[in-house]
Amino acid sequence: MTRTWLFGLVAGAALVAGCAPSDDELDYLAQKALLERQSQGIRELIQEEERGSLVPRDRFLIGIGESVVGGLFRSQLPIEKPVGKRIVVHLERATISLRDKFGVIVIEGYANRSATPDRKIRLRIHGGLGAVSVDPKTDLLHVKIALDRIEILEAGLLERVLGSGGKALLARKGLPRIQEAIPELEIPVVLGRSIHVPAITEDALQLDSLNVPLDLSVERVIAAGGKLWVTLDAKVGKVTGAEEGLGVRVKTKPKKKAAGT
Amino acid sequence: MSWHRPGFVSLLAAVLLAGGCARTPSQEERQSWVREIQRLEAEQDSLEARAAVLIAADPRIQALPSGDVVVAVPTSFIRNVIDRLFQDVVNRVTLRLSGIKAHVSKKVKKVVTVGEFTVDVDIKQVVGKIRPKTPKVGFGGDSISLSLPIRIKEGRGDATIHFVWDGKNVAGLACGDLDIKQDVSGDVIPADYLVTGRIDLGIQGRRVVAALRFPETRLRVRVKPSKESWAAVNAILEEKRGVCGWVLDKVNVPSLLENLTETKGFNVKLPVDKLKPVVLPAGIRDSVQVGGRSLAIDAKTNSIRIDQDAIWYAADVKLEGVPTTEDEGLAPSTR
Repeated sequence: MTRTWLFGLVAGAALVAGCAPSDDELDYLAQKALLERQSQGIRELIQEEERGSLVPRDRFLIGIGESVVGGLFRSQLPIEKPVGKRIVVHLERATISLRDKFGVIVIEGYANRSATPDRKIRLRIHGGLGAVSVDPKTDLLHVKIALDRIEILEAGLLERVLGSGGKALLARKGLPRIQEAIPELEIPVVLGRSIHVPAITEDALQLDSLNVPLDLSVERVIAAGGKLWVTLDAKVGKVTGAEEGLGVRVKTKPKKKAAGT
Repeated sequence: MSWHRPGFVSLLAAVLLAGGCARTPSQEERQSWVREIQRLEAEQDSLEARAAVLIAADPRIQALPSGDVVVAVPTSFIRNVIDRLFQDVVNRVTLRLSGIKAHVSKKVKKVVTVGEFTVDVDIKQVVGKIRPKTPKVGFGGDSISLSLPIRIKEGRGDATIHFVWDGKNVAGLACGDLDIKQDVSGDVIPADYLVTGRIDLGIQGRRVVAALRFPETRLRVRVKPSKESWAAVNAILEEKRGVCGWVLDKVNVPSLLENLTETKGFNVKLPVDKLKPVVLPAGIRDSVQVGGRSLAIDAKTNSIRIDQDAIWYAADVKLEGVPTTEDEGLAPSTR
């Protein structure tokens, strides 16, 4: 498998080498891709708004400001994570902008071989919002960050040797590995899986505690207006508890009535 | 894919090959790139302007509460939960009335007072089944109104009737006193009732709590004595008829009992004020785990609002000890 991969990669690299784009072209392509993505996102937001569904009427809607999302991500920095056996990735700074449906997340840092920590390859990582889920253990919202591309800003000693094409290829190959190094975000919004109705043990009213299970599912995740908006559908399950029945006891005090003819 | 030594070497070879030959763009190419970027920027400006117009015209977006965290719980969901709970719970309720006493006393006059009677009905126990009907739940004006119709469908009870006649003057001499006790049983007369109240929302810690508020709620439970019970009461009264016939005719005990049990009924208070607050299923946690450590969350509630469509909760949130974007000095890459 390793040998096949090696031959394939060398062949692919040879092809790529014949037409490696310049730094200017790479900048242009990156800017174009970002603009197209942002415009596509805004276009989809407009379509949803025209359908009247940007703020849905019958769904749970959670909005979390980009300062909170960004703050939560930055609170984990700096992150130092080994990628494979020889490479260590350091994530130092990040910005998160939540305005164009998909969101724009930029992380800066560097990578180095573990044997040579002083030889740094500076990186800028571009991504957006990924999958959002409700953690069944904690009932908290979890947000993944999906990486789009990596820029190698400065390759140190290899800068001249690699050139723009080499850096681009290296960045593309490293993307899946660096994706693994990006942590999920735990958002402090809790979404309970059930509604609990407390027990009542008064003399007049006997009621076992009741549980209304909720089946929550994430339907849509969008970035708009500086917030991460998560839309969830919640289905109400069968009420459990009090299978033995409930008792309502009524005792009243003697009442007197008097009338004369 | 793992980065084994051969893989790493081949990757290095590939990037060196790739780096060895970079195209130099022509002037025309550069100009076309600039034009393309300008076109895309203009398109994005146009889309943003269109979005701004739509957003400005959408009352729901304009009414979004401000805060770092905004949570909307749809009223359709709340209505569904209330309906489900009401149907499931009320269907299982057994209403038990006990210790209920009704008392009627009356002086009988014929120029002067000829006597005084008292009737006591002591309910030992009435057991009834409650059935729910379709509830009405209203949202708006910062409150949730509840209109919960129920029906006491069936039930049965036991009681003791105590009739006392205290004769005065001539009547006392002629008829004396009467003291009659009789155990009776009967069926609850099915009837519909409406329990009304409201739900107040408040904050308990970081969660929205729904507290049920019901004014004093009373049901008038009516009981129809069984044929056997009437027969027993009538038999006793017949025994006493003789010299006291005119007294019994004057008082008309059966009519009095019927009025007491079947028409007026027994006014009983429902203990709905005992229901406890319920926590809504969405809120803000006071800490989260980040990178293996616990990060404290400082949340301050901005507003709780109840609209026709949703219950809105908004809070400002501070993450303790986390640098802002400005502190980091990293410029956003968006336009």
